[in-house]
Amino acid sequence: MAAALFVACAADVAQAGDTTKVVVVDGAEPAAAVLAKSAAAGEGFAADLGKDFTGSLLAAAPERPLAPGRYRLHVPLALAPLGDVKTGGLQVNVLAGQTQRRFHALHFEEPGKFIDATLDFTVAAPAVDPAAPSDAKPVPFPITVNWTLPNDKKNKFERDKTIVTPAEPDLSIGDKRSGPSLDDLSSAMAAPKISREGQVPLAEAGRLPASIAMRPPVIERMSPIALVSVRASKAVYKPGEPGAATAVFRNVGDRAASAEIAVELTKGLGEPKSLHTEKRTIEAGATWTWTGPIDLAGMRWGGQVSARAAAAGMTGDAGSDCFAVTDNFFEVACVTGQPGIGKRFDDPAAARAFVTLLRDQGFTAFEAFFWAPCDMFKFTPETEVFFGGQHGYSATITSTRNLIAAAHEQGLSATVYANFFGGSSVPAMELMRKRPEWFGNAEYRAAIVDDFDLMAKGKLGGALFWSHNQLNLPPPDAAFKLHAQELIASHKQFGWDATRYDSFYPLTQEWMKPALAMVRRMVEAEAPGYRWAYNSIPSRDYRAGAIEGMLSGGGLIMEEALSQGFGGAPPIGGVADQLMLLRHIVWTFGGHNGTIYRKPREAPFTPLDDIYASSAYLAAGAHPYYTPLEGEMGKHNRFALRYGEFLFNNKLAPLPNAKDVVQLGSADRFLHWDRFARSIDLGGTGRRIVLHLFNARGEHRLGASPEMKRPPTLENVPIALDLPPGSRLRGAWSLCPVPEPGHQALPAAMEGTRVTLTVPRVRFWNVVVVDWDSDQPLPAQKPAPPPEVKQ
Amino acid sequence: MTTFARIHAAWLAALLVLLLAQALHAQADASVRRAHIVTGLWHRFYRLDEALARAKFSITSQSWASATNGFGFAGPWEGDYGSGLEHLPALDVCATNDVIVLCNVNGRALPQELLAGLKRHVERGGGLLMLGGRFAFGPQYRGTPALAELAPVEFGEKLDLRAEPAGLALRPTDDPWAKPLAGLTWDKSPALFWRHEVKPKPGAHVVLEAGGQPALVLGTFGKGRVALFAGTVLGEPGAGTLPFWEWSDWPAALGATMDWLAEPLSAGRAEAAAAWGRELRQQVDQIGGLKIDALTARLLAALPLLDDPSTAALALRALADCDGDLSDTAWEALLTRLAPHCGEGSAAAAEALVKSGRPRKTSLGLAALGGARGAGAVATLRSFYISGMVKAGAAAVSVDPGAAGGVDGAALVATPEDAHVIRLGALVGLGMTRDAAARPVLRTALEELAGKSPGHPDGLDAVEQSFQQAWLSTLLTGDASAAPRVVDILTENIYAISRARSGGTDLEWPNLHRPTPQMLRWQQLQWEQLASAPAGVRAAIAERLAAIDEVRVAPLALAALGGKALSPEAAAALKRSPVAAVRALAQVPP
Repeated sequence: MAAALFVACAADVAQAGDTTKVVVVDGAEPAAAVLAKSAAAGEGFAADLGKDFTGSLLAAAPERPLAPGRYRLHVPLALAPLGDVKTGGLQVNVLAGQTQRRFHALHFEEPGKFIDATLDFTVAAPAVDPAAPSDAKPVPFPITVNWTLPNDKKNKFERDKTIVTPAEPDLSIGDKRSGPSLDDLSSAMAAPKISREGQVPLAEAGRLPASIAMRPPVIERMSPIALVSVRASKAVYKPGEPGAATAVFRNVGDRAASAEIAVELTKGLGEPKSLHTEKRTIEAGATWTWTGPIDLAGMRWGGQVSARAAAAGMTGDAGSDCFAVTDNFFEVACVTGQPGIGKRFDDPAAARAFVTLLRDQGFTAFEAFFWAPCDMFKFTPETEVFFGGQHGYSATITSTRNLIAAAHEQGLSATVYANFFGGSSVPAMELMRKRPEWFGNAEYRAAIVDDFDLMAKGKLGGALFWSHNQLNLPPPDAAFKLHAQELIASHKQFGWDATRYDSFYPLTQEWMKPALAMVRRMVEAEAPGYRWAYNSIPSRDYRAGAIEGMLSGGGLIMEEALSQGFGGAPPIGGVADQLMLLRHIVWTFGGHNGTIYRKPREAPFTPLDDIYASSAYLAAGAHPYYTPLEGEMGKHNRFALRYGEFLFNNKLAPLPNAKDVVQLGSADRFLHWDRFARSIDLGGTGRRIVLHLFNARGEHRLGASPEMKRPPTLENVPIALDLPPGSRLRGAWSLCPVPEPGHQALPAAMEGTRVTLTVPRVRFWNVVVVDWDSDQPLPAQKPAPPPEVKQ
Repeated sequence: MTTFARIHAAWLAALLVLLLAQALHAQADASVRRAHIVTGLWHRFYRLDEALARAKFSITSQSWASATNGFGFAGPWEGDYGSGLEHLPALDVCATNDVIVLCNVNGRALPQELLAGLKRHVERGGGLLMLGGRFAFGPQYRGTPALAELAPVEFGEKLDLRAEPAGLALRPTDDPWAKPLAGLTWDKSPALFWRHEVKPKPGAHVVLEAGGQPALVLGTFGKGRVALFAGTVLGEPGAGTLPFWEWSDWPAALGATMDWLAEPLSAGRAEAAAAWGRELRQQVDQIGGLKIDALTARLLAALPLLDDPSTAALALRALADCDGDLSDTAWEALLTRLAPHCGEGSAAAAEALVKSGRPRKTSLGLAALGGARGAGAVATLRSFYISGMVKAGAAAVSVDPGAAGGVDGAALVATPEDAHVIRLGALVGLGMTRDAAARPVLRTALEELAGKSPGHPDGLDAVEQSFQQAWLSTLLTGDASAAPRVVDILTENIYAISRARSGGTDLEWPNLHRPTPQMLRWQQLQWEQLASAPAGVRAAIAERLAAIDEVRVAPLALAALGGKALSPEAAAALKRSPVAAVRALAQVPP
């Protein structure tokens, strides 16, 4: 009876999701009107996510052939429930022609609430084949929307608890894992009518345990003037360096079009300053480029160049590029690892293209690890093709030079990896033969050392065993002098900006500190501005009294233990704690904390883990090392470059009495806000407070939260600050990396000594900056306690 | 006649043949000398390959020292190195070589079995050479009883290396044992810059000194000899000084030492072989035959004695009279060491092995059949190469693969692995015939295999092994035109071994060391056969070797030409080699 009921009703909804032609309209307003009309009419359907692990919501084509130009596909989607394992791993892939975009559960803010999932695409002018018949069929232009769920045990278990669809009746009773129980049968009787495709009318969506809903999509034709790129000449400038920017526009349509072109420069939190405006007509298929200087005088920290092309009645295009000004690139470091240079960059054009790619990912530097023929004693290869001593990575002199030159051209920096305890491979073993008194122990395989030359002969792909030796005790100065001489020579040969040591043993080896100081003196005398970074366990190095030497002059520590712990499903609150401790130690000594960011976006990590971890890193002033931060929902790496002043400025001091100074609405919703809070004197009477509103539960476990449960977005968060008498408010801003790095001025009022402001919206993490002038520091500011260092 | 009596009679006949062969044994190439080198860092500075060439060594093998004591610890001068050895052959190197060399090796790297073997080796007449270096001697040797006992010196309790920045010139002493070193160009003042401070034991002979300190010390232990070089290749020579390792006569000095070390076993090999044969026969008589495992253990322990055709015949006879098949290890070892030295006296035993119905015995028998060079050998070998099947008893029964079989006259099914073993034995045998009539079979085999051979992968599969063996056998039949290809194949094998033990071509840590032992054993099989190549192909081999600018080709050259009488053409070719050790082969007086 029940089965018959389901079958009889199936045909009514068979066509509920049948959308084979997508409406095309010109302009944003008509598109909005179409979408609103569909919404009002209740058009659409919901797909039962319990039916399968994949599904199709749309397989369609535009209602008419699309002329060359820019378009935006609007796909209204809604997902329910949220924060549930039934939907946590959902991915929706939207395709238009050859362009696609992924959406995941994090794109949906509220369960069942529709979002406008958009996909911008360009239709190129078709290549005309004179031999093609005039009635040749147009090239298909697919518009598809598909969804997938992870096919894993936990997800399956949860999904099996949903109702059974009529297409697969399963009346096994009592087996809760594979079929409905008596209770489930009851709910099955109350289930909505489900089509064979697993769809229900939109109004019935709420009765499905898990569903994704879609309203009819629409294609909006936008202005054909595309902003191809906007670029500052460099990602990082040194103070006094001239700046320049370039904006490239192209008319991708099939006829001439006009747009209001604007290029602007914004420094810090200041107002945008116009660099260029004009109304320009660009012929079909033509490109127009604007290039001009940007005034960086007196600038420090981050800024951006923005460009837009606006057309009346049509959605235009806009974009921006971020940059920073600093004399110490560690201040804005986002460092990638670059092993295995090979001969990929023997062509300088390839090097430039690669550096552009790094810059697009938000990196400001790269580290060539395992590059040197010997990590302590040989940084000047003797042959064009050479092999790194630690693991046989190949490189050429030409490629290395070209890569570094290309990096400098775009303001990126180059770091070479080194060790300080002894050398690697053949050069080190040969030095040990000549100078046995320099060395104590060694770790080697004689066969591997013997065969090293076979790599150059092309008989061996790579020596995987790292043969290395260790300095004797006490190590001779001559060994360090040789090391320093090699670094100097390598800097002159290739242009390295810094060295990152992978070893340092201050706890047990007192000789390291004077040796390090000697090397630094020698190198800096020949290469002023050369920088130093160290693999460090900051708490240990702090106890050993060595961290000051390591970080003097604004050095960077590379910390790797934290992210190694990601595999243990740490709570984000604990991760934040550790990051803040690292910051406390490192900033106390004027350094910078480069913590490895070990890819928390591969399974079992989720996009939410990625956002939380990225937010915690930046809120605690940690520079991501090796891997970029989250860049799909937001642009965290670019945000770091843009707003490093509020994240990485190691003069930002703790605000130990934050709760006395700041009254934060819904304070218990923001993770560690009082400990994240910082303050700084801006010089003269200028003062600043930086708050981090991190909307996350501290117990959220990275890599163990597939449901992506997250707290709701907070709106209109009130903040009040009690400032010293006589304070004059300069301004307040909210900064956010999602969806693009940006800031907005916050309307703020000051009455007496109290400043009140409201943050409109905090979804994951916002940075709030409040600047004021006062002759007095903040009231009752206590000195920071010494770092708590656990033994 | 009872079975026992028949066996007894056969043994008596074999023993008589052995004694007669010894009496009539003609002077030809030097008997094959073998050395195993435990290789530490900087071994090439010692120029051991050149020394081995001068001392007429032929077959060499290596194991490699390693030290693992963790990352980044700046330790003291005398730390423990967590040392070990890699690629020590499965066979007892001490039983199968004339001289063992420890080249800059930490005593703690040597496993207990090797240390015990070293003592037995020297006691029975073997030679041991200890070369100094950063990781040698000192408390690690003092604290290793076997080494402390064997060495002709006493080692210090602390690190014994002493720096001599100005260099100390090496000089021969007045000791009578220094006589072989007298005629060298000592006036060039070859010097050392770091030495071990050692104290010669009573009865030891200091034959080289440096600055009044012992540099080369000789001693005896049991029937064997030990030499210890207290110098090292450490240091940076100052201007105007000649480090001994760059001295033109250093290989001659080291070679003379190696020659002295090898002498007891070389000189006494015939007598030792005869004594061994008597002992084996006695054992067989007393027990009424040995079990296969016990017999192969005896054979493996006496492999150097099997170089002689008569001893080889005895061994084959004993194997044929045993029930059961050889293990893989025994088969590989005996194919390597026994087959190349089988002669006419092995014919009957070879046939018996071929008809045993046991794959590995059949394989060995086929190889020996080739060496026996009887009439019909080529045809028999061809038949087994094609079929890859065992045949049991007098009736050659060919059974389809997949059919079940049993013992007692029925044929045993040959699995693909067994088929390969048999075919390999047949290929070896074809080479051993030294008969041009074998070449058409080999040519056909090469044509069939060439298309399937993958070249030089990181490991060697059956096809590649067969392909390589077919080429080598072609050379061994006297076809000199095969020499370039054979030399190139064996050279590529050297590279393949390097690839296997280094981990291959990607950046992970794959377990690619697995093929290394198999490839090393294969290399030994090839080199042992090459060492028995007919004189007529030596010039062609020399020509090809001389064209290769690769120091790693030296042990291959030794295998092919070490200790051999060389034609003027061969010698002239070798002198053109860019590799010093290869050139050194041409400088050895006949």
